[in-house]
Amino acid sequence: MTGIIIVAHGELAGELVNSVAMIMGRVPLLRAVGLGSDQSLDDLKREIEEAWQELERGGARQILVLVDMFGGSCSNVAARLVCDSEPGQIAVVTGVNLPMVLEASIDRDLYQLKDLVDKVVKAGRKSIVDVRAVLAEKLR
Amino acid sequence: MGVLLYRVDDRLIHGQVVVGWGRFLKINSILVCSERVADDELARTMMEMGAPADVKVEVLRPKEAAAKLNRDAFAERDAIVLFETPADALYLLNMNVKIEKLNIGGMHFRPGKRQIMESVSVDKEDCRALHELSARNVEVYFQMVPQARPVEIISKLPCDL
Repeated sequence: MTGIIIVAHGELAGELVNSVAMIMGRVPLLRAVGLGSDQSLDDLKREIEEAWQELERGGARQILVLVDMFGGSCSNVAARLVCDSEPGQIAVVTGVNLPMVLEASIDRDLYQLKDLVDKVVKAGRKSIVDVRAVLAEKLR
Repeated sequence: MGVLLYRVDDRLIHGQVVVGWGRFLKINSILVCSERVADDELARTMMEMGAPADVKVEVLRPKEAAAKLNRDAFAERDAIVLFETPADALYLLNMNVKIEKLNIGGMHFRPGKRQIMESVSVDKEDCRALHELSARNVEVYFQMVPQARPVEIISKLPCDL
């Protein structure tokens, strides 16, 4: 099964994990790493690596890292991890939101890492909706 | 196949139902049994929008829902039936719909209700309906999401309402 690490500024990652638990119950092999305002990027990298090792000890064969913002510190650090690893070992997807974490968590054992990435990216794109426009369409 | 879950949840179609139960049970249909929502176009539209594209949502008044279920219209589907209140579930039972188990999800607090669990508050009408459902051999249990353990609820109902 794929292990999931959410990496984000501040408390966001941990709270996404809490919100997922509210909707789905406790999800296995899911970890949160937050970047504090006074934390160094070396520290952040170490924390992600620790979460990664912990997930591997828990049985994860590959890792999906969900990061808050492309181009931010978290994604830059995650990009470094991708560069330093074999393909199929770790993937990084940015722009994490709640539907993406839910999608990543569901039926995870049925997907290779690459297909899980596709599924999560699709779910994220689909989750952004201009509600007034959709309602106008439906109620017309 | 058929109705895989009967659930009382005053939020009807929302994350716990669509993602929590829906994906877990691999459903393709949701029947919302509610007079209120059936009569409210915006609420109905929101219900339909809240489900994934491959899940068919129907909102019916309890009477229509009973007729449809009694016609075995869901025999070839994988469905969840949602109620806002236990009284609506009891109504279906009274209309001879076969309900063996009833899942209690959220019944949130409102003035006039008494809280008996974190997400369950009941008034006199709820108590009466839940007792009667249980007395008529419907297994009534509280379970918010599939990963949580089902909890017996009838013994927790207050007797002084």
